[in-house]
Amino acid sequence: MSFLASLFRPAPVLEDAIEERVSHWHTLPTPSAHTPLDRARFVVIDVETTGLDMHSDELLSVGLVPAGPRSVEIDGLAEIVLRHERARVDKDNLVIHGITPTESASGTEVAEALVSVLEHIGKSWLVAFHADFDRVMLTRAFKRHLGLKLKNPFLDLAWLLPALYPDQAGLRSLDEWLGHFGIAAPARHRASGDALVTAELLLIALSEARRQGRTDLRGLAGLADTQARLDRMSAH
Amino acid sequence: MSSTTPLQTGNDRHTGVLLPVLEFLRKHAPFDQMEPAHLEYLAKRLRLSFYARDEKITDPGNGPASKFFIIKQGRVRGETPSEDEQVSGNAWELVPGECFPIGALLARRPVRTIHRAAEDTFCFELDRDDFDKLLKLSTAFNDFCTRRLASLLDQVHRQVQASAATNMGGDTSLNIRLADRIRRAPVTCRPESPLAEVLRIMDAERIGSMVITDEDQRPLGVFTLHDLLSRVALPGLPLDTPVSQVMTPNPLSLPPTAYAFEAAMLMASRGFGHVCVAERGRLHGVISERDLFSLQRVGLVSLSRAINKASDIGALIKLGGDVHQLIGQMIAQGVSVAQISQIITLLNDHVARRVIELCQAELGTPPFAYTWIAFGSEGRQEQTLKTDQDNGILFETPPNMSNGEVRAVLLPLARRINEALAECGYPLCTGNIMASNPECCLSFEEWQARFARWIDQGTPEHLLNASIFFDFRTIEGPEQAVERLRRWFTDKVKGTPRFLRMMAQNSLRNRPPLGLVRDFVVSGSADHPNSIDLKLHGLTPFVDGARILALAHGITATNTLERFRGLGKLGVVPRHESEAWCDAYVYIQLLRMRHHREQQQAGEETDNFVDPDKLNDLDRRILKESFRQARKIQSRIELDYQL
Repeated sequence: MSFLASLFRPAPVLEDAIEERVSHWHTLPTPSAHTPLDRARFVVIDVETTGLDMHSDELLSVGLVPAGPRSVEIDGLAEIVLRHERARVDKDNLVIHGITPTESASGTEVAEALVSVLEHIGKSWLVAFHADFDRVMLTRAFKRHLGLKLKNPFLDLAWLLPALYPDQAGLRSLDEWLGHFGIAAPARHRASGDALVTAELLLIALSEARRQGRTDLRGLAGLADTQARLDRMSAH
Repeated sequence: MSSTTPLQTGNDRHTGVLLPVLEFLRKHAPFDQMEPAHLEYLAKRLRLSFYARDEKITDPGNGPASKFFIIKQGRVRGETPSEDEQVSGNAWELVPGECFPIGALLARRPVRTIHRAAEDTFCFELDRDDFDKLLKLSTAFNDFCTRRLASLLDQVHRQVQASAATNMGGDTSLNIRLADRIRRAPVTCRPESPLAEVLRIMDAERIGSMVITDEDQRPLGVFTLHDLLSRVALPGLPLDTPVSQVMTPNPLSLPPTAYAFEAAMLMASRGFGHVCVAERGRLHGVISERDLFSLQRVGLVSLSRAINKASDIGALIKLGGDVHQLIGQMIAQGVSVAQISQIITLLNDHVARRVIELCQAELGTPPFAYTWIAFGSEGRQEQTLKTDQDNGILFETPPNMSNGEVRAVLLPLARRINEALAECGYPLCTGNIMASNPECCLSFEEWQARFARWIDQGTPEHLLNASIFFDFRTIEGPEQAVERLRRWFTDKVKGTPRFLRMMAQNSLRNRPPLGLVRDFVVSGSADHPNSIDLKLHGLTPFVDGARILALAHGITATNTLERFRGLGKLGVVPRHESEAWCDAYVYIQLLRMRHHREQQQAGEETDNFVDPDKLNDLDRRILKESFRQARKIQSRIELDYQL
C-alpha cells in the first residue's frame, strides 16, 4: 500500500461488540496531568514486531503488566499474540522474538486482540524502554484496526534512567541497564518477559526519583523528554 | 485503567507469561516441592516490589504482619530491635529464595524483627489472605511454614536415603518395625528336647538358632550354632542331653512394634546375636544380627562382641579400623545422627571397658571399688570417632586406707589405661583431664569439695571446668556414688543462682556465626579462610545452652538432646521449640560427621572447619536456620538472666 493510499484509507468497520468495547474505553476518565508520584498507576508495555521498520512492519504480540508506584502486579501480567494469516517471516527477527508463523496464525483475531490490549491499558500512563517504537507501532495498529487515536502518555525509561543516574550515562540498551542492576531476564524478547523486566527497572527508577525528592509524575516525564532532546542535540 | 484482570479468552497464555516467575520459584524450597497448580495459584497472586538499600520492609510498629515476602533479588537483613546491634548474633541476612515473616503471619502478630534491604532488593509479596488460602491448599507449603526446619531436614534426609538406597540396593534403614523384618515363622522346640533332635531340625530348616519355648509359645531360651561349639562339642556333652541344659536362658525380647535400631542396640550392648520378637509373652519370630546388617561387611553386634573379647590392646587397635568402617557405612545409609552417636558411644564404651579389664589383668585389680567416669562429650554421649579423652576416677576409700594410699594404687593403673586408650585412637587430653592426673582421681568427698569450690567461686577457669566436668557419666564400676554426686551437685547449682548467671554470661560470648554482610561469619584465620568452626561456633552454643537450662531446672540428663527434651517435658519451653532445637543440633552434628567422613576418604586430617560457600543451597539454608535456633536458645537465656 502506497503512502498516499494509506493516508486516505477509510475508517475500519467494526463488529458491534468490538465497537461497544471501544466506546467504553472512550468514556474512561483521563488521569489528571498532575498525579502525585505515589498515587500513579502505570502499565508497562513491550511489543514484538515482524521487524524494526516502524512504517511497514507488523505488530506480532503485546506484553504488558500493571504497576503501582511501589510494586508490579504479577496477576495482571499478560501477553496477547495477534493473528496473522500470512505473517511475513523475517528469519533474523524470528530468532529474536521467537514467535513462529504457526503461533501467529493461531493468535487472537487482530481487532479482538487490540481491544483486549486497550482494556488492559485503559488510559493509564504507559511505560516502555525506547517507548517511541512501541508508541508508533501501537498507535498505527489502533488507528488502522480500531479507528482510534491512542493518547495515553508515555514514560520512556531509556531516557528517564540516564536522567536519574547521570553517572551511568554510558549505559544505553535495555540489556545494559538490566546488567547494571543485576536483574536476571529469563524470558527476554518475549513481550511479557520484556514487560516484566522493564517493570522492574521502573520500580528502581521510581525509588530513585523518590530519593531525589521528585514527587510529580509529569515532572518525571519532562525529565525524560529533556534527556531525549539533549541526546538528540549532542548527536547533531 | 479499565481492568487489571487479564482476559482468559483467546491466546493470553496466562500460564506461559508466568513462566519466568514459576521458574524462579521452582529453584527454591518449599516451592520446589509444591504441586504445579498450587504454584500457579501462588504466582498469579504475587506482586513484585522494590526496596532500595537500607529501606525498611517490615517493622514491629506496623501492626500484625500483612504480607508474605519471597526475596527475588538482593539481600535482606533481619534485626531484632531491642538488642545490642553491635553483636553480630543479633542480625542475620536472608538471600534470594528465602521467605519472611512466617511466624508473625501464622500468629497474626506484628513482626519482632525489622527487615531491611541490605542492598537494592526485589521481593515477591503475597497478601495475608492469599497466604492463608495457600496454607490450606498446599500441604508442602503448610509443612514448610509450620515446621520450617524440620521440613527442610526431611528433604535432606530423603535425599540421603534415596542415594543410599541406590548405592546399596534396597531399604537398609534401621527405622523399620521388627514386625516388618521377621523373615519366617519361628522354629521352636521344648526345653526337654534332646540335643540330637534340636540339631536335626536346625540342619533341616537351615537355621543358626533355635528358640526354646513352653507350651504357650513363651520363649525360655535360645540355642545357637555358636553354643554348639563352646557348650557341647568342646566339653564333649552327649547328644541326648536336654537342650535346656545348654541354652542361654531368659532370652532378650522386644515387642513387634520396636524398631530395628532398638534390637541392634540391645544385641550390641549385651553381646547376643539374636533377639526374640514377642507380643504379650508369645513368640512371633526371631531377629538375628544378619537380618539387621545383612548388607554390611562389619556388623554392629559382632563388632561389639569382638571388642569385648579382644585378647590384648593390639587386637583392640586393629578393631578400630572396623569401627570407622561401620560408622562410615551408617552415615552413607542415612542412619540418623542421634542413632550414630548412640552407636559410637556404645562402641567407645565397649573399648574403654575392655581396656580397663585388660589393664587390670596386667597390673592387678585394686582391692577396693572404684568407678571410671567420662566427662565432656563422652559424658554427654556425643563423641565423634575421634574424641580426646576426658576421664576420671571416683573411688570409695576403704576404712583402713587414706585417700593418698588409694591414689597410689590407682594412678599407675589409670596411667596405663590412658596410654592404652591413646593407642586405640583416643588421643590423650591436652588439658590433662584424665584419670592418671591426681586431681581427677578423687574420693566422693574430694569431688564434692572440688565442685563446691567452682560453684561458689566461679572464676573463669572454674566455669570452663564446670562445662567439661559437670557432664559426667559412669563408664565402668559402681554407679551409686556417681549418682549421689550428681544429685548433690544438681541441688547445689540450683541453689546458687549467681553461678548459673555467670555460666550464662560466659556462654553468650560464643555467638552463632550468622553474618551481617553475608550469610555467615567466617573465620579470617590463615589456616582456615572462609570457614565456620562447626564445633566451636555451631555445636557449642547448643551444648552450653542445654546445660545451663537443664541445670537451672534440675534436669539431671547430660546428653544435649535429652536435656532439650526434658525442658520440653517440663514445659520450660514449648514442645515444638525444644524439638526444633534438637533438629538444629542434630543437623549440625550431621554436617560435621559428613565433613569428617569426606576428609577421611580424601586421606586428610579431620577438622571442624567447613566453607559455607561449598555447601549446596539446601544445606546452607538449613545451617542458617539451625544457627537461628541457637540464637533462640541464647535469647531465652538472656531473658532468664536479664543479660
